[in-house]
Amino acid sequence: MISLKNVSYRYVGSKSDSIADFSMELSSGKIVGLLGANGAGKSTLLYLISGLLKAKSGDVDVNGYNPWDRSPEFLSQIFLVPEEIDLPAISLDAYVKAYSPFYPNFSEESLKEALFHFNLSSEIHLGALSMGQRKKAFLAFALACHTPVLLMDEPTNGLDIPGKSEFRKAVVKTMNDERTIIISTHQVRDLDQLLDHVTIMDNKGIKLDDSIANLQEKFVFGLAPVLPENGVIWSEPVMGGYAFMKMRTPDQPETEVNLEALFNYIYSNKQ
Amino acid sequence: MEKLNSKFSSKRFSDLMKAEFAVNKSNYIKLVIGVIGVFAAVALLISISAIIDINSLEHVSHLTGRSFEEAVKFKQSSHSNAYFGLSIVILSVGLTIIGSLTFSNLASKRQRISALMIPASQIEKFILRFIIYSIGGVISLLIGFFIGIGIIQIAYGGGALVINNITYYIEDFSISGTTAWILLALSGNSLYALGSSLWPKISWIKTWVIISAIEWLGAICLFFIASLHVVWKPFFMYLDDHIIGMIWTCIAALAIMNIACWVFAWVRYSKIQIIQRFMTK
Repeated sequence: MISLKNVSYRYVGSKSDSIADFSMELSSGKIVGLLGANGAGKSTLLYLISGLLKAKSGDVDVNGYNPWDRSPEFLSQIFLVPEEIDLPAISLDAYVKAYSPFYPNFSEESLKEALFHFNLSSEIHLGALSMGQRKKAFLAFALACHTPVLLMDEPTNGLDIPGKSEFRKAVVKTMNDERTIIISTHQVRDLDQLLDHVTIMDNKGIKLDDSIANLQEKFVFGLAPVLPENGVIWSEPVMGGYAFMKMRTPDQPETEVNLEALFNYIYSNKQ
Repeated sequence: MEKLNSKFSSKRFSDLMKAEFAVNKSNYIKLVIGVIGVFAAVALLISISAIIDINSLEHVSHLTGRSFEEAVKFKQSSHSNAYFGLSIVILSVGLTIIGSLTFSNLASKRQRISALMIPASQIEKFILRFIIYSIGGVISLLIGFFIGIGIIQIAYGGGALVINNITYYIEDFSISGTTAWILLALSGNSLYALGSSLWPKISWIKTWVIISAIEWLGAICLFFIASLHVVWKPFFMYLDDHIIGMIWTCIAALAIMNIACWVFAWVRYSKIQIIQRFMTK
């Protein structure tokens, strides 16, 4: 369980809070997509949850731990994949031997499986990899640690097209009911069919916090050459017609959630 | 017990140490080779100079009225003194450089994330840095110093004279004086380690500038105050006795300063956040 109550944070030198009086609760067993515009405070939120920043006010609780205490027990239960990773120029084997003892649930099997998904050998040297390959290797290690909380900041940045699809498969493989995975991203299309919960935020708080199942029940997303006449709450011209979003009526079949449409709808509506 | 284990566990500390050496092994090897290389280079230059000097003695010894053996001993001694003097300078500067590296791997946001997210306590991570950059720094400098002595001994037999110099200075300065010198050298390490915790990027230069500024400011203030309140008269002849009387006060002050630097570095380190505009840029 991750809980933030009335949390505020302001960067040194900034005139306004990056996150102001922010509250949210997340239960385990979810893959949460954390969406927001630039400067909405998504990365700040991840840093507050992982204890890398100290909230100016409010309470942060992660599975009963105060992250700012940075206790070894807490740190062994959380893994953060930052947007820009820092990997030493050593072999993957040496890296795994160095850091896996800190994570009690680390699985060599999962690592091999994730590496296989990413088309990487287990005998690679981290110093000899491209940026995308380094990210894949780091993601494979992060997934293999099986920490109850896994935070990822723009994990698909720098991944090639097959890498993005393999990333989704690898995440699903390591998911279980005790685990919470939070993925902060702008690349919403990369997370298609991966998320089971969406949180859209700005720096004043949460604008939407709902499960994908509920969103599918509430809204219909579609593409049409001509904009439907009734019930459209958001639309955008695209090649060959319109992408649209409308309220769903019980007789309509459920559709896949178009995260980009949902995000634009939420951000265009101040309600 | 559980709380203590949360702060410090020998198993976790040993894992942390293994991880640190696995990841930064090549950097530490380069640092030790660099330290040994500096001492070896100085020892080699002094040895070459000593051998050239000694070889030319036959032509000049009759002019000075000394016997050849006496002249050789004199030359050996002066070259060994030069190595000893230069070594003191290298040791002092080396300790400040190594001290300034203590928190150098926290210079960027990426590095801070990767260091702070390792599942070990903050005190374990701090103690490891202290061991590597303070104790390890002293040990590597001493190894370099003694390797230099070995080179000098092999080259012209002057190594024993350097050892004699050490014992001579210890006797001359007494135990208290020597302790004060050692603490003074160590305070260079701890001051620069504190500087490194405050500004990890280009730490040595920033710390040097600030210490120099404080020293100059202090000297100017002291001179100004002294010029207002002190009647100048020849009192310098009493200064030595006065300082000797104060030596234990100096030792206490230096010991406190060393401890205080590490304590402040710990306070700073324990509260470090990944984004802190002040001091990290």
